[in-house]
Amino acid sequence: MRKQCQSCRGEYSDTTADGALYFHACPPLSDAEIGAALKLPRDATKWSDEEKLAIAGADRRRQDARDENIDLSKVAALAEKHIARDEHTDERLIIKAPGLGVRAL
Amino acid sequence: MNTQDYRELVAQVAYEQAKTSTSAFFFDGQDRLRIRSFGSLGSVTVSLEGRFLGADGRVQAIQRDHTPNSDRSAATQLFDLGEGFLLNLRPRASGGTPKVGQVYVFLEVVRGTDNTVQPLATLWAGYVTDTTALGFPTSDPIRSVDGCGVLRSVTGTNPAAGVEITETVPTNARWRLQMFSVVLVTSATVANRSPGLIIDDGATTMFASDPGAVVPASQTQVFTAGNASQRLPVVALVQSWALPSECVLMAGARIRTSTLLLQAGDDWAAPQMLVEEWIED
Repeated sequence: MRKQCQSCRGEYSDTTADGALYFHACPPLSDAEIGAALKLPRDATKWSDEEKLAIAGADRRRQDARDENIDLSKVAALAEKHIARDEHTDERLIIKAPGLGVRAL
Repeated sequence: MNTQDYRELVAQVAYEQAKTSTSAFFFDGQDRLRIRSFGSLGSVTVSLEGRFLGADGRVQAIQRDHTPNSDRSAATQLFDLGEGFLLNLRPRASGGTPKVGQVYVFLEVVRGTDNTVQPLATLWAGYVTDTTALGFPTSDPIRSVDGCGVLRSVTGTNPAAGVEITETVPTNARWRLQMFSVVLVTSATVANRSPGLIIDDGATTMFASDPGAVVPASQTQVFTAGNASQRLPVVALVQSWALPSECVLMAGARIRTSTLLLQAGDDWAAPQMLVEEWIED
């Protein structure tokens, strides 16, 4: 199934061609995204030296980033509670960060 | 000697032979067989097939089925075999067609219940396929990172415009990055983009490669990297990043782009990677 991450708007298939699961993780913020957040001109060539320094030193962590990779500590917690896992298991119980969720395409 | 007496004699002899065997494994009433699996492929069933010499001296064919998870997390199951000697045991994928590198199992002897299991012995460990002929006692245990892994062609996430690429090695996987290829389409905004390739451990950069040449506006350029590739300038709109030889990455490591002066309208396509993968718990 193709999905769109609602945190970073990236699009992906949840399975690869060989049938394995694909685990999406949002990327760090780009220069363009930080520039937009700082309300800098869209044309990066018009940034001042101070603005460029601000970009370079900016915190690149994405708010509400999604990371579908399995959190083994959460999986262990399910096992301790004898909660069986199946295809209906809420992903929030086992993935590292649900972010803003996904939308099926 | 009638047939019944003969059969009973054979059973007694078989039981005595098993007691002195160096390969048969004795199970008393408290011992249980445990399988722990780590699978990266869905719709797989692992069948444990073997022979068990019961306390009555009769050899029984045994078969137990187990379903691994598909996200490389551990799936565990216990089986009671009763009292007797395990003569041989072979795991085989009876459902699905996993390759070496996709479903790894431990076969163990344990005591206790689900909550308080005490492992006592490892019968065998290794990868399972639908044609596997390996198992206890004919084959030695194999570590999950030994030998060749499974080759996978992975299509990553297609990021939104103005967003970088990040691909993460999945939980409980080890990757050897063999090839990486991605296309960048730049917008009409005038700027000299400098797209770099970064490999980090999830937080700290371990390797970085600048491009061979900057990318101006309104261009479509292909960026590639391979085992021990060098940074090369543009040739026919294709340029190469450097990549270490034997680029082996642990779970959580990231392969990502970092583009100086990336513009809001620039668009990275979904990356394509060739990786060799092992299960690594």
